[in-house]
Amino acid sequence: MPALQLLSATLESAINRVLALDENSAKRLRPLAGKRLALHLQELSQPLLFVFSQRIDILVCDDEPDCLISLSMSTLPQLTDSSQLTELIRQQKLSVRGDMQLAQDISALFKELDIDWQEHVSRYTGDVVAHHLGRVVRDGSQWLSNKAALVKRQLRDALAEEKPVLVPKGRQLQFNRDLDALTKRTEALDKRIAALSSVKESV
Amino acid sequence: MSDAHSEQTHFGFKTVDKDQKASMVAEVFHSVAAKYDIMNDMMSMGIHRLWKRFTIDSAGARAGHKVLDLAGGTGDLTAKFSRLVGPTGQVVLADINQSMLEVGRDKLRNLGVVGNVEFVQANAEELPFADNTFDIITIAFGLRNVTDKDKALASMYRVLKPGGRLLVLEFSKPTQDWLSKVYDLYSFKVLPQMGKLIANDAESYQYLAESIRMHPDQDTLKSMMEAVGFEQTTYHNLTGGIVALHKGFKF
Repeated sequence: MPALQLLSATLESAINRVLALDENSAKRLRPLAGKRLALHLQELSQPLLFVFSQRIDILVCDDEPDCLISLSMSTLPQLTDSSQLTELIRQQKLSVRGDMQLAQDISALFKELDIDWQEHVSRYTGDVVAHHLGRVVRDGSQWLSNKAALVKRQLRDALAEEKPVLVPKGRQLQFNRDLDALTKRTEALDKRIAALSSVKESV
Repeated sequence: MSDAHSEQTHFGFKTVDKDQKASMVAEVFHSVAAKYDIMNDMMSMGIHRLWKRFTIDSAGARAGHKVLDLAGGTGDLTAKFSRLVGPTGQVVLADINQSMLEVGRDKLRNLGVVGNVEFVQANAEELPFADNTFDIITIAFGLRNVTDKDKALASMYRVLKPGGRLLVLEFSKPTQDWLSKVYDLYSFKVLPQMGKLIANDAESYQYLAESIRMHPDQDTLKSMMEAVGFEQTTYHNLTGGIVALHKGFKF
């Protein structure tokens, strides 16, 4: 069975389904029509070619694209943080060749996705269930992020006070100031010694 | 092979008069057209979609290209080609069978594929197009139903532009013995029963299974393509050779 075609088929249908959930996708796809972006994952034998039209078709082929992005699969998750991109390129974990603007436009297409999940779920379950489900998910994620913040706080306190692995921020600032003062005094003393020795030599 | 005989040819395992085969094949496809897609999915367990994707991946279709999807039936390849060649390109969906063509037309309209697609009822042996018309010709699971395959290949060669390529996706010979045995059991025992259950038409599916066995193997088809002028001819076995994609260029 052609394994790469199975991958491209799965990816293609997933991406188009997600895009179809936002009714503005069609409008955002229009300026990209006819463009081709190749994604070369080093683990795969051939690049994936994303061809844009009223939807996205994914081919497994090495035809010339407008823009070629190559990277390894392990770098893939880091792409979501756009502040990291320059660093990844500098480290040669990511290379972009051709039309950079196209890569940015496509990334914008997915970032601007605004999907009303509750609305889509309601088509299958009815409004009441969807509303409750939505609340459960929102409450759940709120609870999770509260928990995460709490754990982070507790961990920080434990490291700083119970075991002296970290120092509290105030104590560290004081230490920094003391260190600065000490450095200045050492420099002054250094200069004075230098001055005194030159006086002694000239005598 | 009975093809060599001037009056007789094969229809599955039966031998029939040459001028009868076309109408007998037509009957089979009239009878299965409406359920063709479902049957394909059932028979190949969905893998035919991947074989077709592989064909499109090998086609090198670009914006502005002219593509002939021959024996295109229900338009699986055409839908994708239509998007790949864009508004400046053109796709011609040709099939000898009016019923199949109509199913394809309805399906593509529902998918919103319009504008750059043309529908033509045509016999692969005598394509109604000018010389050097197309950049790409595909014929997926169609060649084995053509009465005179050499004539059809020559006709495709004629309408292809210099530099253009032909892709033939067709059932072929499994490369492994054990696979051959499983495959035989499947196509002669299971397949006609499925045809009976789903399309209420065991005979048509019996014909499909038989016609697959009568189709030339990988190397024979390759040399047939070379005989009519194709160059750099290669084939690629898919799923253990149950299906092969042949590719040839016109220069």
